[in-house]
Amino acid sequence: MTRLTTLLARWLNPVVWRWPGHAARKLHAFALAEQGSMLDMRIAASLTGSPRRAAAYLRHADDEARHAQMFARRARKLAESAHARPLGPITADCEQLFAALGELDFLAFVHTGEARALAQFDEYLAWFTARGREQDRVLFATIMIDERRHAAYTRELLVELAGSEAVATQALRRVARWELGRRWLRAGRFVAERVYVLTMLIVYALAAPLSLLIRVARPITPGWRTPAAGE
Amino acid sequence: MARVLGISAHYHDAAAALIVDGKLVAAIQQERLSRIKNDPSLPIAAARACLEFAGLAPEDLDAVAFYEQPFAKLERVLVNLLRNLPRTWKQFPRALASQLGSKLWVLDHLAEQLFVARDKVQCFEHHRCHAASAMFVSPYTDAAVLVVDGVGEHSSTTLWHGHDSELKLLASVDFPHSLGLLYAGLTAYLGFAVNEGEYKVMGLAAWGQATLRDEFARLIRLHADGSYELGLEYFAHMSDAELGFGPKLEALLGPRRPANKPWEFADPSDRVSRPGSRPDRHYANIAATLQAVLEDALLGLARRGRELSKSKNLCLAGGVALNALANARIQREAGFERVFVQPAAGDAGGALGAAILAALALGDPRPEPLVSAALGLPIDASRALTIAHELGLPIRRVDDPAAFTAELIARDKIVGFARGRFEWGPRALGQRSLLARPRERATRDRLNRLIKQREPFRPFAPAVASEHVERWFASPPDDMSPFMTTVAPVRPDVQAELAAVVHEDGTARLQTVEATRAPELHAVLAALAERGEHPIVLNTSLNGPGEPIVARSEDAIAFWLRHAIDALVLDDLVIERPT
Amino acid sequence: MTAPIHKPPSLPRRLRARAKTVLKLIGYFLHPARFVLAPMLIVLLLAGILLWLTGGLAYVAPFVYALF
Repeated sequence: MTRLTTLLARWLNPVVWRWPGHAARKLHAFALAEQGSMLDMRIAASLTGSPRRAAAYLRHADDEARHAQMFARRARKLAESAHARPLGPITADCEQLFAALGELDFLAFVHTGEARALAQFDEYLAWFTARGREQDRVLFATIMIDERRHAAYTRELLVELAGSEAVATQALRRVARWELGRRWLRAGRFVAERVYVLTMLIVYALAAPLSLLIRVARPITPGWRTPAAGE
Repeated sequence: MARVLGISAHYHDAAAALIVDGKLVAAIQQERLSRIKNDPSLPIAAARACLEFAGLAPEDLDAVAFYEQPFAKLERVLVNLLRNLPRTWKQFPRALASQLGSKLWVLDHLAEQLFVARDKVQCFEHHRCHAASAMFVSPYTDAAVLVVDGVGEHSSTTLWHGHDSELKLLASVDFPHSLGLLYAGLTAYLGFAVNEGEYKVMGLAAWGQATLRDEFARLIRLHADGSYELGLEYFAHMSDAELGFGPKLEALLGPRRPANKPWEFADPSDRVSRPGSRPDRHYANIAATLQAVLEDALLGLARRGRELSKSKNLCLAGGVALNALANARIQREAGFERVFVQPAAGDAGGALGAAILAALALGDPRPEPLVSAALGLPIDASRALTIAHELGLPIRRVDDPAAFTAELIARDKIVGFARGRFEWGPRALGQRSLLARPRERATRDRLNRLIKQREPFRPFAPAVASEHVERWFASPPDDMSPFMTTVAPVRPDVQAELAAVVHEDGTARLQTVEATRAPELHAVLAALAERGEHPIVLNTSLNGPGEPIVARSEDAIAFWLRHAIDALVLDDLVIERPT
Repeated sequence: MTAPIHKPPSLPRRLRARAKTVLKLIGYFLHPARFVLAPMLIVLLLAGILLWLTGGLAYVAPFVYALF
């Protein structure tokens, strides 16, 4: 998966980063991802039984919050320079991965994500360096320092929690399979949603006569309504 | 005697509330635990936290009560979608997916996820839950109850008569006419996030003048019988889930204000328009007119409630009841002797109301009047200590945390204060607060720079020992002031001494603090008085922008890591930042 | 004494609960006070089948509580 992400990053670099409006949206998406990750790490900190790991997760969460701000700030600047539509606020959802996967697989998931991000960011860094885009290069280089630390400590904790390298590897494989399944489901849902919407629009058109019935039987009535008996 | 869990969910501010043998034991908003602001998801974590706090297992519950009737809601949604055909074409698939995908099965989901028998799960009408959440924890045995929100199943405004343990519906106004949706539509028009930015509109109102009465007369007509009617052609809440207002509103009031655009009248001396600030002055005038019109409408409704119920007391509930400015005006002008608003008046409060209604149905007495909003989970100090040690933070115990906090405040420090159980509702009331000295305007600026990043027109609130209120404020403590759901005029002669908390219009959204209601905060105020300082602090929520208020020790430590406050007090533990 | 183990109900039990909810919903829409809404059951049925076949749709927006 990491190899695929790296290749994709390499091929898509010119498309993603050439136009400031495009780049702004990409960085905004990164900010949202970091914010979501921050939430997951904070929740992990409150759910883990180990104060030591809780502390590590809190540090990690703090880094993610800072990264979200850094990405968002740069995204805003690029959007302004491109006179693009203002980007939304950095409010992300959280997948509650700790509860869903358990701590061992959660750590495996975080480690995999960090390793993948490192590989991807490396590609971006090379691209920005080659084109003399200093601000973007510094942004990614700064964030990558933390990402490297994250990848290292999560690997360490994973092995420690698993009890052996072999069990840790099993967890990493399990998570890779789980991620693959998740991607498959997401792709399936993407298609299914469109099929559903299109078909429902046909149902909607067919329901048009009901609209007249409703307007007659249930007109909008302003002002006070006194309760019916038993209400 | 029964054990009942109340649940609100699926729209915004999901929550759980637990009543055991007629006593309100715990009430928790899901956002505090999930860390997602206004989290609407089924509050399983909050429900489990309530049970765990009470030492109960799911099978100990006699009932689980949901705050809305799913079938009635589905009926209204369907009727609205078909009535507004073809404008609703975009929303039709989504709305049905949302209803049939999750909302319709909410009672089944609750039974499955909470591990309780399905026949123990029941539901009550949305506005009845709101009314119960206010009436049955109020200090009154007889009261008119006014519920005003966006919409429940069908109603957006209801009037009730509450007497002992009974609630009788007197009258209602139905969707799509809705004061909540009027306010939400204008909130979106002013560029704020709906369901979150309403406080900002209220703050902005003080910076403008209600100069747009004629325009607003087209948006809403107030009738002599207290009811109202929206000019529906200006709104889009019947057909658009994103915006809430239509192109006619922009034709009437001018173009909407872009979201996230910086405001241009930060300086209080900027009372008159200057070229750069003109557009924002116009938006402030819109906010001021909206606020004035909303207050007029609420006064009409409250007076109608008084006529119909013949009661001397009023309970307010629903999201609109969180409008502290309007509540103060109702207290002054609606003709009631006493007015009460419970701290979680919005949708979260529905969980409390549902729990009470189910408990009453099982034969329990109504709960005691609500004294304190500290209904959440306590701080786990020992875990905080070990985590802080792991992080290498300079944490230590102090003998008298209140005196220690007072000393820091007296030295103009900003202190994160997390003691006792966290609050129920959107206000930090001294259990999870940021405290500071309220004298200097610079304190406010520092708070904004370091943490809050609020718009320049948004005020900070004061908390004052209730025995000293009248020295600073021109109105005495009332049934709302302990929960920060009202405002009071600051005496003109002391306004300069409270520069960080006096709003543009000379009022403040004060919290009156009694030792019985908020002992930890009261102890700080008493310690300040002992030091010869004013027994009054700036009290704002312990959270960063866009975040839920801190709940657990881990959240407090995360806050400390992220924000450069001077000290953090966690029960009797203290972390100080070296100067 | 051991604490009871909390498990979600079995699939047949969950299906039974859903079937009961559907029956109650039909009863609700066929109530004399709402008889005029009975044709909507067909719309609901079609939407339900589609949702079941396609797996749903996620959507979040500020005014969902007014519309959804």
